[in-house]
Amino acid sequence: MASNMTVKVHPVVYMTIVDSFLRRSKGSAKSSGNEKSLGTLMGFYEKGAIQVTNCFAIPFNESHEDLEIDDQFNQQMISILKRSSPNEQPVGWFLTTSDITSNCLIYHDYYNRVISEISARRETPPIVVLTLDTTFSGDNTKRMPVRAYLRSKAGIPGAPQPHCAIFNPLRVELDAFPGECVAMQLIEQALESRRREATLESGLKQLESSTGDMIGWMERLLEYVNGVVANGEKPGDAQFGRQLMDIVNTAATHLQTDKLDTLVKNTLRDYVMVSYLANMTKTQLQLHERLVAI
Amino acid sequence: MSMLTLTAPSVKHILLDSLVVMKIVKHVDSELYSGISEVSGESCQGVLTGLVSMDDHRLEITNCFPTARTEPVMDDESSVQASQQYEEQKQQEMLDMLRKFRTMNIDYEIVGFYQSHQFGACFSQDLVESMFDYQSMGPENVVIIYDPVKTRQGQLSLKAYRLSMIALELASKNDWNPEIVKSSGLNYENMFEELPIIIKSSYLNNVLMAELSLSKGSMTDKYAAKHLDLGTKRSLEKSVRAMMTNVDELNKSIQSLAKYMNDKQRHDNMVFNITQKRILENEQRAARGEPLLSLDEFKRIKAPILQTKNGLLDELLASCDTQALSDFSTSVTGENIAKIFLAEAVADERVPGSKDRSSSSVSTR
Repeated sequence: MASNMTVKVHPVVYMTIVDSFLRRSKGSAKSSGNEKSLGTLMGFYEKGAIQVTNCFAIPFNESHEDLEIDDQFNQQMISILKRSSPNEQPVGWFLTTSDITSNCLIYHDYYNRVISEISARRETPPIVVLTLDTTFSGDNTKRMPVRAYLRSKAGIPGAPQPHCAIFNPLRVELDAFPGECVAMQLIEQALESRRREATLESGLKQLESSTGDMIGWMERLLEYVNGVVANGEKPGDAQFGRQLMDIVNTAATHLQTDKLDTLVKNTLRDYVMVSYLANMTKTQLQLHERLVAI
Repeated sequence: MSMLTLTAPSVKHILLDSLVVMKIVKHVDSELYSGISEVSGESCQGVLTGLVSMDDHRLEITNCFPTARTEPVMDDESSVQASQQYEEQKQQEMLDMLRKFRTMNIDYEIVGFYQSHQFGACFSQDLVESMFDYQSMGPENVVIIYDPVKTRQGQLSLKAYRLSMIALELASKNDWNPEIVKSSGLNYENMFEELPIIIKSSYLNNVLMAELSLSKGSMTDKYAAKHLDLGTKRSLEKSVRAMMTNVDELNKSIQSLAKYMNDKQRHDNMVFNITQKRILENEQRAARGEPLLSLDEFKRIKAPILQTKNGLLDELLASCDTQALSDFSTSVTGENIAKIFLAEAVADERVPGSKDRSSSSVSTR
């Protein structure tokens, strides 16, 4: 098994985990609940990477002596999800915890069995463990770290049975489809607002705000460049300079004056035409409505 | 059907959990990624769950799940049966899913459904039918329309609709006769009601978003400035094309409507004339003391029917679609013109200033 694999997790997975953690069953007098949430990761395998695109939480109980997992629930969910998005298969499991405990071994064995039953290949595909630390304890009180592991067997060579299992950490990357990135950007606005809300904004407003951003960045860059070049207050960084040069070059190649002129002339006319047509259609609609109403 | 009591909805706006937004977007995007939707050309669908908060006049949508896509329908006997079975299985799965939601402490009340449509031009007879089904099930149910094209251009586009009361009443009778539609005062503008959407995140979700923005990869940055893209001509072209087909449809239905109006007028005149004649005749007969002739037989003369399947419904929906498409076109062209001016302004400033600035930086190094 390759431990140089990358786990590419889509934002919706994190959000589902967080949501399931918030909705975990609190312990009542009769049955003690869990302080964690556990579930199945769905996704697909790529070359050198595992894409985790979806997940769901399942009921489980680890407060008793022996652990309980609702196997039927899990199997049914997997088959339902498979029908709505056929390209996804179970690739692992998640747990909201700060570290791997001995219980994880048992969960992993369970998932190993489930996934090897489902996958058509003889060899069981690698099974990922994703942990999301929602405890805010220890030295990361301000962070919510995400870790991924892959189990590998270890032992003395020559022994018939491997002695122990090691959960090897894997690299976790955030990956998203183009639409997801856009949606995420919008949701990030909720960070700024007091009521944790974001509203859908019109295109022009969005343009305005990003233009404002760009101007801000340019000013910062200018300040930095002036600081280095003119006043000599800051030490120059060769890599930074090269990157700046790249930016200038891209601007020069992408925005050549003659190219831009033709672009402006041609496309502006097109756009005005389209908008004229659209407005005319609207007028026709209104006219038509009046005619019907007579 | 007519026994159904329709209650007026009280919800004024919609609170959409950010999880739902991501789930809808992911559903559509992963289908685009794997190329399923290109093959079948169908729109993605799913069910929304949540709760109604009556005091604040607000509908909270807290979760959703995708429904399996409909199999291509074929006409022969066995496949009809198969598709029926398939529908039943789909219903069963939906119930199963809701039960599972209940186990996991997720809100399990259905509050509507979502669909993805290019350019947000979603208005079809199927949509009206399923909206009617949902809204007669729960008066607060809505449909959320997601536009993947606009989202890929860098601007998330979600719209919440519900049928207005007038349209709901007509749909319950399933009679779109021009006379009835006219007398009810329904037109394409008040057929659907759009509701404002607010996206809400939980505290922990905000922490997560902050955490994720710290570890953003190059993948996500690539799409960060999508809304500044100048090349959106292709989708605009498609939209205009769709607009043209819709206008054609509209013209067709207008023609049939005009024909109907003519026929109707002629018919009315004819009936009026014969009745007048008969009345006169009756007066003469009464004067002569003969028995009167009845007027009933004229009422049996058939009135002309509008030559479309669903009466005015097609025309209304075509109008709604055209409206959505033209809205899309105007907003996109407006933005694009703004973008072009922006680019021009950037270039203008660059031309005189850039040369000496770059040369100065080279000379000092």
